[in-house]
Amino acid sequence: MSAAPPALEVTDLAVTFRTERGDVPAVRGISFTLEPGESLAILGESGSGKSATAHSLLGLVDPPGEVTGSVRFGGTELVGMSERDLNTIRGRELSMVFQDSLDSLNPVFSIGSQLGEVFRARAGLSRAAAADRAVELMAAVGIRDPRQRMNDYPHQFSGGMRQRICIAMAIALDPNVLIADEPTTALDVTIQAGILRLLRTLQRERDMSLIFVTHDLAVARMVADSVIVMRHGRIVERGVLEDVFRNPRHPYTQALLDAHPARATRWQDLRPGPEHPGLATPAGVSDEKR
Amino acid sequence: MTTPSGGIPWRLLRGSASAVAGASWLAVLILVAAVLPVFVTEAANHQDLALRFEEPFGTGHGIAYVLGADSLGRPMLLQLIVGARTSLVVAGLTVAISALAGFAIGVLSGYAGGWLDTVLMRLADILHTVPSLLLALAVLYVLEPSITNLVLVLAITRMPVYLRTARAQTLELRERVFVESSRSLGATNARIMTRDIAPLVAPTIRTLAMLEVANVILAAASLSFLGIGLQRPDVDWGMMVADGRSYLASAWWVTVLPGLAVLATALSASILSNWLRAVEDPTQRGAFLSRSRRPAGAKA
Repeated sequence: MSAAPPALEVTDLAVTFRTERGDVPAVRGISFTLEPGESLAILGESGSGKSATAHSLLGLVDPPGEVTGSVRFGGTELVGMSERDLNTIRGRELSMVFQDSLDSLNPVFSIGSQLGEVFRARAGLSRAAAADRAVELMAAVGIRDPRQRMNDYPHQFSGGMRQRICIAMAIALDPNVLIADEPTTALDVTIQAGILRLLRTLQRERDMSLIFVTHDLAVARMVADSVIVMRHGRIVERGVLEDVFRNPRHPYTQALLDAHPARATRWQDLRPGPEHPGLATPAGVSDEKR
Repeated sequence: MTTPSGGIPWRLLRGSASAVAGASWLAVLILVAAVLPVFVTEAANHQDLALRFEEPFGTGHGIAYVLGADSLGRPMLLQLIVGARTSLVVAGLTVAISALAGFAIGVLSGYAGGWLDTVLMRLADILHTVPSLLLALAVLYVLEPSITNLVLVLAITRMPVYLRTARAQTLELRERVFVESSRSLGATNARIMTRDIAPLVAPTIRTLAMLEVANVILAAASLSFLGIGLQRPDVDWGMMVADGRSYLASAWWVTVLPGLAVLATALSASILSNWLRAVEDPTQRGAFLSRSRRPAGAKA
């Protein structure tokens, strides 16, 4: 790795949801760094805290959720930052693509006006200039006839196209770090491949760092250089992606790898991990201690 | 109201007979209420006891008496015309004020949450539990019963309906992914409320407002009936209904005609608003487009 300072430095990050029945720790103190231009996959089953991690990086965890620890972005501490200051960073420095592409566009505005609004509100462009940039962006994410399709509404696009538009919005302001929270989960496999290729290309072209949250090993393999495996809110394994694949050290990673259709031919081959301890287990009990 | 889809194509209106009927009734009514009362107010209040309970659809006494006369021999047609202006002004202003205020406060309350939400909702609860008629009675007894005061009192007592609806819908909308997506792009709260949430709540509020038109006309009538609403020689439809109710058995037209006017207006308003809601919704618009004939070469 180069000597440049890391794009993102996460130290002891914890996300806890305070409920009437007690605190539910979603993320229990994780640390990692993201190098400029690196593509990092956060891998884990549902409930492992990977999405909560992604949301907390952008300050999108709302009460009763509580974020502690430190997220440093180019010398700025993001945890505990005011909403107003966060808004100057969101979109421009850190940006996010969400899982549910069907619902992540406002149904009552045309695509062109939603994309254009990003430029008008954040970059202060005129209506015409914003429209031009919107067309450029739509072309960049692979939408045909962008000028004609500007006036179409979200429901007139397929799921894959909508996710492309969401990606376009997320990269509109040239962020340094793009966080993708399971962006292909709602899409079928052939469409997935296109989106993943697009993300990879955009990341290289624009020299962004990418954090890719997924539960799908095959997907992680297509986009990421390195991987973090999370379970029960902790990082259980990390490393360069191919090394982890070839030589998984943690039994959970091993179990995840074994769950691949090529390796597991009968359901008996699967080794499900125990259910998430949730509220039943006192906080602090982790896999290692069991 | 804003039209997020960027204007309503008028050719769509022709596709719906009921919407045309509703729109025409309202247009004619507004025109009549705006223009005619200046000329006929004096004649409308002219009492001719010889023509007391004159039956409608007679031709003997000129066009003014074509819809009959009321208990004091005032011409029904002219009374209806003058009443239209008052009814529309009172109902329109009341509904506009209460809907806009309730809409704004409801969205704010739902989006902000926390103590602001609690305070605003408890205030709405208080407004809801105090009988609106009693409140109006008290206020109008203390203040002078004028159209302005009437509108203000009715607007305040009618507000909680919009407030609750707007708040409930905001609570649901603010959890939607596109709101989170806007946040992730650095949109301010004000922008999210005005651009992401308000346009989706507006159609509901507008439909509700149209339905409320009839309620407000009748609420104004009950106040007139109690003697603290409008005072003669001012007249509105509700007051006419109230005046005629004791003669219902002998002279039905004194009650039924203004009643029909209220009904037709309320119905037109709600049909039109329903149609607008459907046409404005980008996902439903296609159905309207395919029903009315599409121009050749239109995109599928």
